[in-house]
Amino acid sequence: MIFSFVSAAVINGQTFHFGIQYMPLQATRISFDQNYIIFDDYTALKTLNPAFRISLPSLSNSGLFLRYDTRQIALQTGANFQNNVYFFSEKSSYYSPDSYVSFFYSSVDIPLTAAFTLRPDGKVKYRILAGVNTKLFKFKRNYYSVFEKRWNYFNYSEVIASDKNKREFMVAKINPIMLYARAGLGIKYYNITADLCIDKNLTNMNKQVDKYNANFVDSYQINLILGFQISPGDLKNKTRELKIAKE
Amino acid sequence: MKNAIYYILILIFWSGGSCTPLEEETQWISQSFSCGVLSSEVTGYINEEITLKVRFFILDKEESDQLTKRSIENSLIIQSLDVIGSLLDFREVTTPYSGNYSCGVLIDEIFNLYSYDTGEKFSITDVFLRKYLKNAGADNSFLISGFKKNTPPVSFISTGYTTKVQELDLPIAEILNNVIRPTQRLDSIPLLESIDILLEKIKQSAPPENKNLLILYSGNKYYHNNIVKDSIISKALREGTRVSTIMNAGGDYYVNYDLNNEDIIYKLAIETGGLIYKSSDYLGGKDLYILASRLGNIFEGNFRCFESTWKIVPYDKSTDPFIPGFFLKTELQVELQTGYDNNTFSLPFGIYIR
Repeated sequence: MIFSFVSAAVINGQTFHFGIQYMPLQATRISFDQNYIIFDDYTALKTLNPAFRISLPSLSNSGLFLRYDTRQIALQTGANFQNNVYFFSEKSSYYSPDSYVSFFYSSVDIPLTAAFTLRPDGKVKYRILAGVNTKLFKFKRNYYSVFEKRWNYFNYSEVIASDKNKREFMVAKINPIMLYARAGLGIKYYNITADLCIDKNLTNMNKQVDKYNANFVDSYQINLILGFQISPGDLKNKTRELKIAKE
Repeated sequence: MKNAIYYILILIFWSGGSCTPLEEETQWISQSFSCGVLSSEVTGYINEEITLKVRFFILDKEESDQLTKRSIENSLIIQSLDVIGSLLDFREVTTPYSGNYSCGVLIDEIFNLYSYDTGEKFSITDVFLRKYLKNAGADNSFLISGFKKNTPPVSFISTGYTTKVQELDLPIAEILNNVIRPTQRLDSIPLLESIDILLEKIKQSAPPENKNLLILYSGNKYYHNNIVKDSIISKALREGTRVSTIMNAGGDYYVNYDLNNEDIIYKLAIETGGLIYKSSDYLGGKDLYILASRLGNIFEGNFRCFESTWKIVPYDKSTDPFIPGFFLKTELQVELQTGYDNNTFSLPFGIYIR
């Protein structure tokens, strides 16, 4: 559907652009309303003090975008496969130093953003972005899951099983439909954009609020979003315009 | 051509994010048993012979209780430096049904053991308590408290008894995970005062029927007890409170069982009909988890267990005479098959002539 829409847009006019985008870097921050999370295996973990923590989520963090460009304003939407990695606790282990405990899930993100270009005539254009991002679905798997089975030696099978239970417990608490507010700064250089966007949840992150357990309160996500425009870009258009003018 | 490369890139990115569900991993559960003594009663004695009835339970990990009576009977032993026992009778019995119960739990905060069993450090006590409460049944009521080197020594995590066990989940985590384990003067923690305070609280606020006090005792030395030991036993008997004790198997460098403390704990259990349990699997604590899911049944009654009757004779002339007041801590040993091996489980209990 997206492809047919994009194709139509390209045919109808050059102000519509489409391309792929890739999110290689993520920092997230999550907060809870209680100091401990109780899991269904009867264990409890202390929640981390909320702070932004960086992760390299996955190669899978990618998608397609469709952008309507005017001289100063651009409206952009798309669909991305997005891994969401949240560090929520810290654990002590016999085999390794203390480490953060994270859970992750993947969603399909549908952002709708408006970008205001600060230097529309410059080679490098600076952008300010604002909009919303809708997270739909939750998938348990991301790219790294493929490698987990290979760590199956010594006691790691149990470590992973234990971690997996906790991770799945956390994922089960997540609401599969969420709306986030988005703001960001970025640059555009010919066909490439690089935006640093921060998302904050506007809707309840909990699928169901549990009175006797920790619930999510606020979730922030900073993503570096690299966009690669596939449709003919500004440089190509300008060359074509110059050629026409010369003729 | 250029666009084709982009589309290939898209395919590569997306191939990593296949959305298939995770495969189920079979969780490792070790072969483990949970064994303890429900009661021990001296039914008769003469100068050099005691007739003793010991009720005990053996729970397996499957909670199926498929253990055959014969295989257990053949491996039972009571033997110590002081006495030798000969098995007179062995049978399966069901304890009388007592109905809903209340349980005041007193946690020796030093009891808070940590498991490294799965490579991950977590509190065994935390898991044990939560599992016990969740499996305890809807109409039973609970009061959770901890004792430590503080004034007052006992802290309650709820104002009174509650039947809503979910309410206790987070406070239990708070009380057990914020423990800073003292490195010195452990012996100054007033265990007996704490038991006395809880018995008083039970007297004031417990529902009248089937009252229980469960002590999770670390086994540490606690010398400084400004309380007369017999007065605690009298109080428990007067109020009809059954006092049970669960102890850890030791392992911490400073755990050193103090005779005086253990004596009173054992006597409390014997006199009031409470159970005595010592964890046999310190590292994993899995035996405690098995017990946790059945402890409610034990308190409620209608619980299937084994009853053994013994003739106890002195080991040699140095053994104290069997007269009223005679007290001896000993062990009932039972051999059970754990995986491919047979392991001997030692069930601590006391012989007490009132």
